[in-house]
Amino acid sequence: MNAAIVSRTISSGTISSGTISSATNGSRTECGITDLRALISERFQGAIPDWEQATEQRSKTLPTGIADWDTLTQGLRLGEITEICGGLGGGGMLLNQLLETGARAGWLGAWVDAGGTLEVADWEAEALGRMLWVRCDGPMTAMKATDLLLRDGNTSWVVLDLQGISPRGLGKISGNYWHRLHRLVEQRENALVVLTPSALVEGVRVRVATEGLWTLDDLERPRAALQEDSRVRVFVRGRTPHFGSLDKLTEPEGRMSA
Amino acid sequence: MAVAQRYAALVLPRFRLQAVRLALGEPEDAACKEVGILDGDSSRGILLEVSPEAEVYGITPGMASTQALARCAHIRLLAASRSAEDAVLQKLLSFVESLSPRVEKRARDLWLLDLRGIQPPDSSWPLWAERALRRLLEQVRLSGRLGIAPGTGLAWCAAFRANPVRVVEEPESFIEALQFRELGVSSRLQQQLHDWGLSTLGDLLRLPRQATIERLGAEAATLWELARDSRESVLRLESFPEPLEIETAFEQPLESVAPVLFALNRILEQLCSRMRLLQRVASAMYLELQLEDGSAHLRQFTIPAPTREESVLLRILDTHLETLHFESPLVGVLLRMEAVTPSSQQLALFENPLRDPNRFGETVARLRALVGDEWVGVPVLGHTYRPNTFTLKDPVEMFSKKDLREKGPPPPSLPQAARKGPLGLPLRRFRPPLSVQVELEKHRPLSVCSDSVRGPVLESRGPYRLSGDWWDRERWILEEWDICLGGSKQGLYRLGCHVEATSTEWFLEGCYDTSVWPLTQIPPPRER
Repeated sequence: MNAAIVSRTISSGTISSGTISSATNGSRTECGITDLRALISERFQGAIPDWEQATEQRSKTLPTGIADWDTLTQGLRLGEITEICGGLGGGGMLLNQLLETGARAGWLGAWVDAGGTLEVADWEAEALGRMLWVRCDGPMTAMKATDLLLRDGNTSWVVLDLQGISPRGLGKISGNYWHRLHRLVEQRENALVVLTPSALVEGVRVRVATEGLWTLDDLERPRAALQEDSRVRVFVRGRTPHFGSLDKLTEPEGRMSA
Repeated sequence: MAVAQRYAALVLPRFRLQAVRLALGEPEDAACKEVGILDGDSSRGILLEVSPEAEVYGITPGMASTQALARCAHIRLLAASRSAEDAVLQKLLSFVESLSPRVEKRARDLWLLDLRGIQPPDSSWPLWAERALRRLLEQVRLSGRLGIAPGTGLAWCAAFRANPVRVVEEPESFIEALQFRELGVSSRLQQQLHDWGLSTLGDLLRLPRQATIERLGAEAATLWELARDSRESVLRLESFPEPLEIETAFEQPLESVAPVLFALNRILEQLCSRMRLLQRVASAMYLELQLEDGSAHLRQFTIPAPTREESVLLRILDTHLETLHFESPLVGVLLRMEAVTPSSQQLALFENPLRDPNRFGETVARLRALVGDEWVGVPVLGHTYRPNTFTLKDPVEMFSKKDLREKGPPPPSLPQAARKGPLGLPLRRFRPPLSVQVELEKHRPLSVCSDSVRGPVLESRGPYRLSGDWWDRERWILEEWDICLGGSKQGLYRLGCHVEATSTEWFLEGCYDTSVWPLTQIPPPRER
C-alpha cells in the first residue's frame, strides 16, 4: 500500500473521532488513535511526519529566524498578537531580524509608526520595499490604522511601533483596544507585532523582551554581528521564561511546560 | 415569491418626421402643423410619414406628394434625412441606456428594454414610465409611448395602445381586448378575420392553433407567438459607444450620502453592463460631483485589479464618499470609466502578491483619509546623502509588482558576515529635529541642553561632514556626531549641526538607544 494514501485516509477520518473502526477480514475492531499512529509509524518509517509536530504546525506559524523564538512558538504565530518590549536599540535589532526574515519569505507587511520615527536609510531597502509605512501623529491614530490594516487582511503581518511614544501617550490606550485587536487577528489570521517600551499589551500570549547594552563602538559594527550579540527573553504564557541570543539558542532553565 | 419579469417597449411615432423637425430646429407648436416626410427630395416622391394634422385632410403615408398637395395645398413636404435621424439616435441611445442597461433596438422607432432589477418610484410602473417620457421630451426632445408588460411582444402591443403609457398588469384580459388593427396586421388578413367574425386577438386564440395557421398563413402564427410569449425574452443587446461616461442631474439637491450612492450604483450598473458588452474592464474611474454653488469635486481612482464588478467599484466610491464633507448640496454626478482589455494570465505563476488588490486599495484610501495623503506609502530612498530624504510610493502599485514574489536577501544558510547589510543600530529619527544647545570643548560636544533632554556627553564620535547640492540654492552642509549622553536621558544619540556662514544650529537628529529597560521589570503575560 502507498504510504501517502494511508496518510490521507487517516488524517481525514481519525482526528476528530479519537478512535477508528477498521474492518479486517470481515470483522470490525476498535483501536485507539495512538495505536494506529504507532502502527503506521512502524510500518512506514519516515513517510509520515511526527503527529505532535504536525498538529502544532497546523496552528500556522511564520518562522522568524530567531532560534529561541522559533523553538518555543514555532516563530511568529498567525492569528496572535506578539509583543516586543524593551529599549529602542534592542527592539530595533529584533525588528531588523524580523524584517529580513519576512522579506526572505516574501511577506508583505505594514509598519504603523505611531511616533513617525522610522529612519528609512537605516533599514534594508529590500525589506522596506515590502512594508507599507503608515506615519501617525499619535498612538490613537496608530491604533485606528492598525485596526484598518488587520481588517484588510492583504498583509501577512502588521508592526505596530509604539516605542517612540511617551508613557503619557501610551496611557491613553485602553484595554478595549487590545481586545478588539485580539479578535481581529484571530479572525483574519495575520500576525500583529507590537513594539513597546515596556509591557503594555493585555492578553498577549507571546512577549519578547530585549536587552540592549550598546556603546558607540557598536554603531560601527555590522548589524549582523550586533544581532549575534543581542539578547532576548521570550515569555510564552504558561511556559518558563527563556533566555537566549538572537542567533544562538541556549538551553532553557528548567523544563518547559507543554 | 418570484418577481414577475417585465419588459418595456418604447415606441417613437413618426420618428423620421420628429428627427427632421428637430434637425431644422422647429418647435412643436410651429405655425404650419400639416407636415409630411417624403422619400427623397423629389417633388414626386412618396409620403413616408405625415403629421396628425395632415391626416385630418385624408393624407396618409404611401401617397404621392401630388396627391397630398391636392388634398391640402399648404402642407409642407420635407425630405427624409438619414443624418438627422442618426444624430437623434445618438442621443436616444444614451437616454434609453439610462432607463435600463439591457436594451434592444428592434427598429429606429421601437426600443425594447429589460426592466430586471429596476425599482420604480413608489412601486408604481405608470409613474416610472411617465417620468421616463417626460425626460425623453426634455433631454432628446422626442415624444413617445411606453408599454410595460411581462413579455416583449405584449409590451410592444401595450406601447401601441398607450396614451402615452400603458402597463399590462393582467395579460389575459389585455390580450382578449386587443384589436387586429392595433397590432399592425395586414389589411388582407384583417379583412379575412373580419369575414370570419373575429375582431380581437382573444377571438383568434380561441380557435384551434394548427388548423387556423394552416388557413391564414405565417402572419397568424406571429399573432399566436405574440399572445403566448410568456417565456423570458432574450434581447439582442445594444452596444453602447465609448467613452464610458454617464452624467446625471439630481431632481433635487442631495445632502446625504445614501441617495448619491444609490445614483452611483445605478450608473455603475449601466457602465458595467456596457463594459461587459465591450469585453472590457475598468482600470480607472473618474468621479465628478457637481455642487449647487457651481463648484465641483473631482477625483480619479485607479483600480488596482481592473474589474467590471459593480460591487467592487461601488465600494471604492463608497469609501471615498465617506470622507467627504461639502458646504453645498450635490446637484449632479458624472462618472467615467477608463476601460482596458482584461489581462489573461497564467494563474499562480504570475499572480498578484496581494490577495485582494481592490480591497487593499480601499484600505490605503482609508488610511490616507485618517493620517493624510503624504503619510502613507512604501518608502523609497532619494538619490542623495542628505538625511531624511525619501519618497513614499503608492503601495498598491508597489505591492502589485510581480517581482515582489522573488526572494530578496540572501538565504539564511549563508554566514552572517557574508551579508552586506547596514552598519550599527537603526536610528529613531526625531521629526522635527529637537533643537538643543551644545557646549563645546576643543570643537567637541561637551554637554547637551534642551527642555526635554540634557546631560553630559560621555563619549562622542565625529564629526561626520556631509554636504550636497552645492551647485544651486538648495545647497546644504551638515555636521553629524554620534554621542553617548549621560544623565537621566542616557543613551546613544545622533547630534547634528547646520553649518551656515554666520551661525551654527545644533539639534538632536534622533536616538539609537535609550532607557534600557531592566529585564526583571518585564512581567510575563497574564492569563486572559
